[in-house]
Amino acid sequence: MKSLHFTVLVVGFLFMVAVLYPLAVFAYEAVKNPDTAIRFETEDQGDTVEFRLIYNINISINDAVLVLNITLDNGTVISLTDTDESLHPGEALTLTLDKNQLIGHNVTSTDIKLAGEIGGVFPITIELGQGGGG
Amino acid sequence: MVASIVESDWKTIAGKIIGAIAHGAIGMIFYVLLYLYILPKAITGLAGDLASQVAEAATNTEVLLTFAVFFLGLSTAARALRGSIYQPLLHAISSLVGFFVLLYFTNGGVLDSTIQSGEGMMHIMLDLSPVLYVVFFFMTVPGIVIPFIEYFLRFGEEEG
Repeated sequence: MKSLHFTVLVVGFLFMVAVLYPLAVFAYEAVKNPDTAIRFETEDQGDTVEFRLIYNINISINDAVLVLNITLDNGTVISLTDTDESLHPGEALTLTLDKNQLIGHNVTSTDIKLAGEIGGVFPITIELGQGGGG
Repeated sequence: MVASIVESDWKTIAGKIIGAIAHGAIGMIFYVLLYLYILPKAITGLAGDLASQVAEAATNTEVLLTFAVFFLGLSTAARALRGSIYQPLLHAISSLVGFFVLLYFTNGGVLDSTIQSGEGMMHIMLDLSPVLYVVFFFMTVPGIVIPFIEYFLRFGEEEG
C-alpha cells in the first residue's frame, strides 16, 4: 500500500513537471530576453499605421488575442483586434489603423491587451494602459 | 509487584503519548513545509513578482503557527487513534485542509498583479489552476482515499 501511495506521488510529480514545463520556458525566456521576447513595433505606412506584436518565445500561445483601444477626445473608442489560434515564435499579431479616423481629434488614452493560453494550459492576460494627449 | 506493574503501564502509556506527539510533530513539519512553503513557492515561483503575495502570507508567524498547531494536533490524534476508523478520517482531513490552505495562499491559482510600466500601468493576470488540479488529483485525493483503503484492508485481514 505504501508503494501505491509512493507511485501515485511520483506520477503526480511527473505530471506537475509536464504541466509546469510551458510556463517554465515562457517565464525563463521572458526574463532572459525581456526586450525581444514580446516586442511591440509601430510602422507608419502613409495613410495607415501598422501595430505589430512580435512573439519570440519558444512556447506557443493558443487562442491569442491582441486588442488595441484608442480613445479620442470626443469619447469615440477605436478598437482594433487580431487573433491567432496558435501564436508561434517569430510570428506576429498585426493591427492596422486608418489615420483618417484620427483627423481633427486628439488621442486621450490607449490601452493594449494581449490574452491567450501559454502552451494551451495557462491562461494569461497582459494589459497595458497609457493616458495622455497627442 | 503491583507497584512495578502500574509503573510499567505508566511507562508504556507515556511512551505511547511521546511517540504520538513525535509522530505528530513530523506530520506537522511535513504538512507545513509541503502546503505552506514547497507547493505555493513551486507554483508561484515561476511568476516572479507575483509570488510576493504568497511569500508575505508564508512569513506571517500567526498564520504559520495556527496551521502548525492544527496539523500537529491532527497528526498526533491520528497516531494516537491508530487502528480505529478515526485515523484514516483524520489523515483525510489533513489532506483536505492542506489543499484548502494551498488554495488560500495561491488565491485559487489566479495571480493578479498591477505594476508601473513607464508612464502607464501594466496589469498581468496568470491562471495557474491547472497545477492545482494536478495537486488535487495526485496528492489530495490519494491522501484521502489511501488511508481508508489501508484501514479496510487491515480490518479485513483481522476479521479473516
